[in-house]
Amino acid sequence: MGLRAYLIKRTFYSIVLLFLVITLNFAIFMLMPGGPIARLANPSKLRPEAVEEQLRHFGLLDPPHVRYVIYVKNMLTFQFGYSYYTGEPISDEIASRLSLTLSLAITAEVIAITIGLVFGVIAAHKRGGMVDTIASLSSVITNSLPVFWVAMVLLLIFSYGLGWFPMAHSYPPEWALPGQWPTNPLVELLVRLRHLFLPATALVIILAGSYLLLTRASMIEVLSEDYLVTARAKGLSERKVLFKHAFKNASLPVITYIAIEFGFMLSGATLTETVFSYPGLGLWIWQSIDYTDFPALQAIFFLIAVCVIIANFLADLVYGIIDPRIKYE
Amino acid sequence: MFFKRSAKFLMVLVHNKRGLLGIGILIFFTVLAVAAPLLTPYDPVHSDVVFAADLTYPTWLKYLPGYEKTSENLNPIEDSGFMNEKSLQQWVFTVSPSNPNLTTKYVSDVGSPISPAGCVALTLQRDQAEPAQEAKAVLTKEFYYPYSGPPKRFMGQIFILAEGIKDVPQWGVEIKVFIQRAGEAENYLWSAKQGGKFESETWITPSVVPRAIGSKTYPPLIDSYILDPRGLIFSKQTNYKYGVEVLFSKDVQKASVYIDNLNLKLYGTAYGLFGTDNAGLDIYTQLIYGTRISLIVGLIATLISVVLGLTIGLVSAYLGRAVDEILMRLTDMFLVIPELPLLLVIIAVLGRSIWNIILIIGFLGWMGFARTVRSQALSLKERPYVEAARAVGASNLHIIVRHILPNVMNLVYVTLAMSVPGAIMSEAYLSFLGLYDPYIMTWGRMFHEALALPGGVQRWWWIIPPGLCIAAISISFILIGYALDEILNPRVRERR
Repeated sequence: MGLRAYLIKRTFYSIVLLFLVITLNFAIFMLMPGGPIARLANPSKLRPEAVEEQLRHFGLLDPPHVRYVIYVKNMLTFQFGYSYYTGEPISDEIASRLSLTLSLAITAEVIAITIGLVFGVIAAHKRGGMVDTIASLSSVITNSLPVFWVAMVLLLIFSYGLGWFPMAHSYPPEWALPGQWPTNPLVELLVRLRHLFLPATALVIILAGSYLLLTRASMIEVLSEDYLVTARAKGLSERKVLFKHAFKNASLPVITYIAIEFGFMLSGATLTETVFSYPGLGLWIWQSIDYTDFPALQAIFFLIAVCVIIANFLADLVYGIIDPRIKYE
Repeated sequence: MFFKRSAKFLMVLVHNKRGLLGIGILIFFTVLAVAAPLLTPYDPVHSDVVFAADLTYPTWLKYLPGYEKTSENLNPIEDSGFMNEKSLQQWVFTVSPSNPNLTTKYVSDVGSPISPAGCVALTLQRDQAEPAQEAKAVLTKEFYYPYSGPPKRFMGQIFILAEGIKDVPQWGVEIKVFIQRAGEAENYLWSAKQGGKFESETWITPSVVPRAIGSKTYPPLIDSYILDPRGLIFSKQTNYKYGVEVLFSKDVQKASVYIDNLNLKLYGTAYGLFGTDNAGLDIYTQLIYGTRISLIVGLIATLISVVLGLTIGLVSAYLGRAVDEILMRLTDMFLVIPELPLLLVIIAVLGRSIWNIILIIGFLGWMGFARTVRSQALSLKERPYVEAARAVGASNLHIIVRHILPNVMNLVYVTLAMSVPGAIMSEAYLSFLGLYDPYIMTWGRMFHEALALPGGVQRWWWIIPPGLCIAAISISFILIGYALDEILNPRVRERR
């Protein structure tokens, strides 16, 4: 199978997945106890005509297949309906929070990947050495810690204890008062970074460990290959051997993992944002659970699934392009 | 046979350094989980009686700077229900002005509804010679308050039954409950007049005698000049008297006042090993019982995942073709679905019972293992002994169960151990986000409750222990997994 056929197959496969996710979402919505009527005050006191009117209003009198088609159409056009809680369109709610979550997640991912890769390679190179022992051990430990706990401990030490960083939000609340917004964009950026620091650190602590362990494992696998002996025999510097020859080959599983992690980062930020009241998508998910705001939960679930599907697709693609040994099965 | 093999296996595991450490930690937590009712008398999410104030510090915190002024629980009164005549000895009985007709005595067959029979009776029986004047009797108990800070809360209790005052005009007796600091005036906590139109010949009790809490709302029975009885009264390390004063009016000829459950409880600002939460529940108890839930959730959910993954992997590999294709595509689909949001949605829809949580964590965790089993089984399927079995006419089921399954059991053991932390973590995440079973306290829920409280994060003795427990229990399973891997798959050893 050639690259093109492989791509077509993957694309087709991703689309099928997308529909499965939408269907799953639809099914969960159907399972919801009581339906939208149950959300009204005193539903048992409604006259039957009023109930019917409500059902018609929500389009629930249509047969399921018609509703399914409408549902799929709405999902694909990102029309998620209105939040039960605020009454605002959910797509607006998401759009206003997306940038905050993305800046948090991307900052954390980039730092975590850098740390994980560098120390993973070093640990694999000097196996059993001090760096390896400390790095592996701390990775196993951080992997066993709940991310919200790390966030809480950071908050406890650096905000409550030492007072170095703000306790919550993405900017000081007094900025929202009229005339208080800083005129200097550099000041705004620095203050925002200060608010970003602790949540990002918590995510880095949790994420770096798995990158490190994965890099280390795949490097160890590669380091026993014959061509590295050849590379060393040619007289290449150790750094070149490590990073050019070994790491290049060891990076494949790492890249896949990174791609998939990027798909999941939206949900990963939920717990951290909750602890720091960082008003991104994660905090919004938390609030939606609190208010049992089903349309909001569904929308976010759908969006995350779409991200993961795209990330998987990209991972497959990258895999196919950078590794010539892959036969596009 | 099975037992012998398991024991032998355990011996091998214990001889591995990581295995020993992992097993050790696990045994520790298992003991905590099993012996929870022996280790703590309380229930983690519910308590009928108040045993401590809310949001108390751990008792050991007094050794740290800034927390020196903590106080602990103090129950100065023994046998407040007067179940035994001896308990009368702790009370000092005084009468003023001196009156031989006003006496106290123990009554063994009368008692308030909340404790067994037995109470103390104050009786006035005037003779003709006595002038018509008021007669006062006082019962007090003196105790030493040893803490430098005031208690967080204190509660007094009294049950009263007045007899023979029905026909007295105006009032017959006046009853006052008070606390008195050595050498100072009494602080009256409650007072009421009985008799006349205030007549009552059944047991009565003030619903709450003092309600000394930080808020400024006091029940009307408390004298209003005491602004913060808690701080004002118990601001010194000195002797205190708690007591009741019974004043008989001059119109009373013969009357008795029965007093029962005369009690005072001081709830300190510090309690137990880890303090209490905002509902006054013991955090140590919650931590111990949380072990149970974590182990149950981790093990059962993992078992579900492993059995599912094993079945799907084996069937997929062995039957091949369309079945394989469908099952593997299904696996891929589940792999792509983000776990946490799906968990949130499903739990929010299905309801927050612990079994829903366990089942769903289990049903969302089988995919990776199914793939591993499938690839292993695919190679096992081609082995000569499988062909031989098929040649002698063994059924598919027989081949899978007797020839392929035993050879993937190594994988099963390792995966079982390695997947438990993930399940425990998923439960913690759900609980932390508020999707917990309301009848069960879990480690994750402890964080939720702490975070939901303003400034709750600062109560580090509340949030640090459950986090360390989660980490320790996860690491123990990972260590056991590594050890199993090393023992069962010796080839791995050289790579790791």
